[in-house]
Amino acid sequence: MSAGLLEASDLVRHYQVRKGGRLFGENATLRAVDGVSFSLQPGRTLGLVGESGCGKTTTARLVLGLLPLTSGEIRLEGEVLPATQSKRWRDLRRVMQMVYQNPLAALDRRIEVGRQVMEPLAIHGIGKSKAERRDRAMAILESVGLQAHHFIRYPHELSGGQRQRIVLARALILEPRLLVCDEPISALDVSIQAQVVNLLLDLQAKMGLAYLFISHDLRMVRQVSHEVAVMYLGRIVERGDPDRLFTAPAHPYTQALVSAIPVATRTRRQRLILKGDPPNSVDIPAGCAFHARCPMAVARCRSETPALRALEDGRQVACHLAAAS
Amino acid sequence: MTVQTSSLRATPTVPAAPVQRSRRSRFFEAWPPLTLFALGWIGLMLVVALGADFLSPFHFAALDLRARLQPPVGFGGDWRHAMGTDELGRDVLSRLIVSIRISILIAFFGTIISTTLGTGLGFVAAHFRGKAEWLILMLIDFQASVPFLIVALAVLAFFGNSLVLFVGLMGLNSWERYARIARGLTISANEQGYAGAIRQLGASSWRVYGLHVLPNIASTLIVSMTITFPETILLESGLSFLGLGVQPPLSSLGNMVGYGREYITRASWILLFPSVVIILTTLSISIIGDWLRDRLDPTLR
Repeated sequence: MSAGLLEASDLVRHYQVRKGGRLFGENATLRAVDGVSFSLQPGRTLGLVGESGCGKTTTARLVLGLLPLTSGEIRLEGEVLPATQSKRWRDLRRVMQMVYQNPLAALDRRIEVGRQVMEPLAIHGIGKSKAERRDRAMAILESVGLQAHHFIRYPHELSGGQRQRIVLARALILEPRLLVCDEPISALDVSIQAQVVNLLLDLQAKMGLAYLFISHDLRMVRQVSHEVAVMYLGRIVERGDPDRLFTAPAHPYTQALVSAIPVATRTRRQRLILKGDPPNSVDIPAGCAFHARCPMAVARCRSETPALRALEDGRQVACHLAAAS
Repeated sequence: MTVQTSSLRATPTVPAAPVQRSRRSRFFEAWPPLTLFALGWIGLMLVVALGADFLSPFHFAALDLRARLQPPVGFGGDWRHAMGTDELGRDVLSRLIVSIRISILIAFFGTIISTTLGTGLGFVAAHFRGKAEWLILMLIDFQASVPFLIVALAVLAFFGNSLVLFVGLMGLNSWERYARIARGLTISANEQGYAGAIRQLGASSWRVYGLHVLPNIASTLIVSMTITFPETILLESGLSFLGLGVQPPLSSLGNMVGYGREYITRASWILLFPSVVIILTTLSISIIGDWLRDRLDPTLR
């Protein structure tokens, strides 16, 4: 395991916030990410799912080194991730890149997309001449399924799918080994989503990329991932093989998520509908964070925080009740 | 879909004459007549400002006491003093030319200074956040809450008056507007936008601000400049009118209006010509600002 591309151990990111209500509200700690560990092998995909505000994007930003860690450690190819904006951090951008949720916001609307794809080469001083960079940008545009005439377009002249391809091309021109995809398809049309996901799979096969794939579209995650981690309020509650995790979820929260996936058949299945909203990440309840909404909660869940434990089939679950099954 | 549109375009129903007219209308679409006029007027003002020494028929301070308060051409005057003379027999045209030079100089450099200062402080606030931002925001609020005319009066009364000090003072006018714009747009670009993405690619701050943020917010800044520029002219006019701006014998547009008001009933031309120049110049700059904003935005092309 230690030979992995990415090794994240016990990532914690807390924010100091002020509780509202009173003029001089007391300080409180918002636990955005609270002890997340995972590892990623080259050429593999880890899917990260969970509802809004559960810390998926914060985890992605921590992995990229865009946010400082409160505690924990990230190792990229064995090397501890250096501080944000340091020289070494900048150099490491060639190893790890990001794909954004909203491609139009991530692109500079005043610059032709081709020149934006060339820009990473200029930043890292790759390629001897402008012509050489241009050739490489043309080649990468072709590999993400765009044509030469798209080179001189402006972002607003392209469709959503084409824009996301440009963002992909800009990330891939540095030939990274890790691509963090933060909801790369959720801003796209359904028909385009499949195209982009297939493109991601093709590129992975061709270039041996590893993906940290963040999404709340469970079916897409199942399709692209080699491993899936389910997050709830800053913690991983279940992790394992996507097929087994989605066919027989062990954690009640995963069960609720999976039962919410729409299916085309008319057979009635039992849906597990959660009551209420997730608790505020400022005051996460004691014990299991999920116990207030969990239909199976017992007294032990209120007092004791469950740790991730391995099941017989190699999955890991953070639930007191799952070990028995 | 594409086949249909191309066949529609291919149908030769458009005769030759409308094509020519559409070419002219296309020209006026890109260069609206009002914009052409504004550009022409500003060009004229620049020529006058640069060539003031060659253009003015008399020295701006030359007295001719035998020809006091002569009316301009068309109102009983002659071509010797085309715009008449003032109460000391000084040629109004010559004084107007010199005034345009002084006022344009003050407004131009004042605007440049306040844009640079404000944008720079806005970038600093957005980049460092924390204490630096807090301090700059406090300065912005201070600047916005105190009437600038009062500050200007106090500074001029305290430090005396010189042209350099006066231009510097005009440069302090409305810098807070640029600081606010630059800070707000930079923060949003850093947090979820293109600037954050570029930084994530490993770019240095110089590249992020110089090549991406500045060009993106330039159109907003330029439009603000076209508001500040006339404001500076008017502020200079106001201060000169109050006697604290440009000092005699040197003359500026506001200065001319200020001293001309005593003769408004007997010799209104002393006041009217500089007033018209002020109005047309500020109006032209505003029109050009509108036009520039549209031209500079690739999404509107």
